[in-house]
Amino acid sequence: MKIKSLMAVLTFFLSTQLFAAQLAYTVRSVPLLQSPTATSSIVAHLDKESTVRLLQRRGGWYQVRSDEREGWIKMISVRFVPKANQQTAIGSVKYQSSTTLTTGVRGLDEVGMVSGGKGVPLKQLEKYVVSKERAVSFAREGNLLSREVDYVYQ
Amino acid sequence: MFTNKHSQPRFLMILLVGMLVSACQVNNINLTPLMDATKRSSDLFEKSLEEEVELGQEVSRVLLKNASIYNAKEVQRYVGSVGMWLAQHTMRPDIPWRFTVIRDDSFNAFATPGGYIYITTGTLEQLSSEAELAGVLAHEIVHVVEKHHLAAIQKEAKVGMVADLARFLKDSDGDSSNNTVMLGDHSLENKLLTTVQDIYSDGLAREDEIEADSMGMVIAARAGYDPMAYIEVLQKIDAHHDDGAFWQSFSKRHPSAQSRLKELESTADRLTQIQGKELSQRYRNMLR
Repeated sequence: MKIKSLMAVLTFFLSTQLFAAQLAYTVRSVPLLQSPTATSSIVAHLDKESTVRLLQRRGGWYQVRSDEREGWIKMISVRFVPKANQQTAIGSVKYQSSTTLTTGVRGLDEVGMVSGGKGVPLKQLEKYVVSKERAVSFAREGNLLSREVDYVYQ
Repeated sequence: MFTNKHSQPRFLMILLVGMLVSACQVNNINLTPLMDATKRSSDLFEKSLEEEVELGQEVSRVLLKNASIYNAKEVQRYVGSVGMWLAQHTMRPDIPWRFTVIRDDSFNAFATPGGYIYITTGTLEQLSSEAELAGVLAHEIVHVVEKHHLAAIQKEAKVGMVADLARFLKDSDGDSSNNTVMLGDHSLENKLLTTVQDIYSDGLAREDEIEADSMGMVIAARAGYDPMAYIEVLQKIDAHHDDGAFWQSFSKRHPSAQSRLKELESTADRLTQIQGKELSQRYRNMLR
């Protein structure tokens, strides 16, 4: 088997396993549902701060296992148990990464600048410009279909 | 974002800023392009796209002064394609969008006015699908569409300039020979640089971030992606929040992923049943 293919299989296996090992806890009491729809029948009620093991995600729903019961809960109603805590809890393999996942999707680091290089001339950005036409064919290749969705006002 | 109602104090402030800028030119102060760009876009009510893009370029130059571009054309074009497709589903599809991957191990994405979006290699490493990437890019796209940074820069720059003007009037007391001294001492150019750096290190107002989260999810959904992938990104960030001391100082200045998730509940409820694409395999194929 080619190394590239082996790596792809390994990556897929690891990501599946990592997700399967992901523990989460509920931030409120929630119904554990038979299927991932709001009208589904209720399997059980989970108290606030119940620990659940995530099995898979479908749309806005996580399939979870809790005390030998399986069912679906809204994904927004859980928070992940930090990996460090999980190691203690379930003894899973430590997740290795050089990335520091600390800042989130927003501003820059504490000094407000990206560092480690000699600067990026803006003309270099122009090399990678994607046209609208290219974006449309890229979307078609991925079967991405536009749909109308209104903004949600808080 | 911007109102056309000229409240008297605000209108007076703009007049004062206009006076100050004119004074700078009269005194032949050598201002940087950043100063020029900010000055030209200093009118809250009239702002051309060209001026906005110019300001975005200058801010980019400041922020990327010590950065390094990720030298992989395929990945750059891939990220650019996702970004450009998303941008077509906003109110500003025609501005000159530029999506660029920066070589940096930390998890970060940011935008500057006029359509400049940056994402780090560290972020790409942590994400696991195109839908997650779309969620992150869409969040940054909203900052541009809603002109969040532009408004913040203008607001901060004006406050600083008006303070300078007040001090100048007090100090000079009619003696025009003090003009150059005052401007030289207080260096408007440096103040603007500091303003930009402050905004990008302290972050935007909490409500701007919440708006970008919610609108970004809708834009991802419009473009055919699974919008809920973004919730998973925030859940990952939330789970890492106590990794290292750096987070502790960061969290003092920013809304936590925990609170952002709470704010996103109504958006998540609305979008839960949307069947969008995740495209995990395409993402892995491109990023491996």
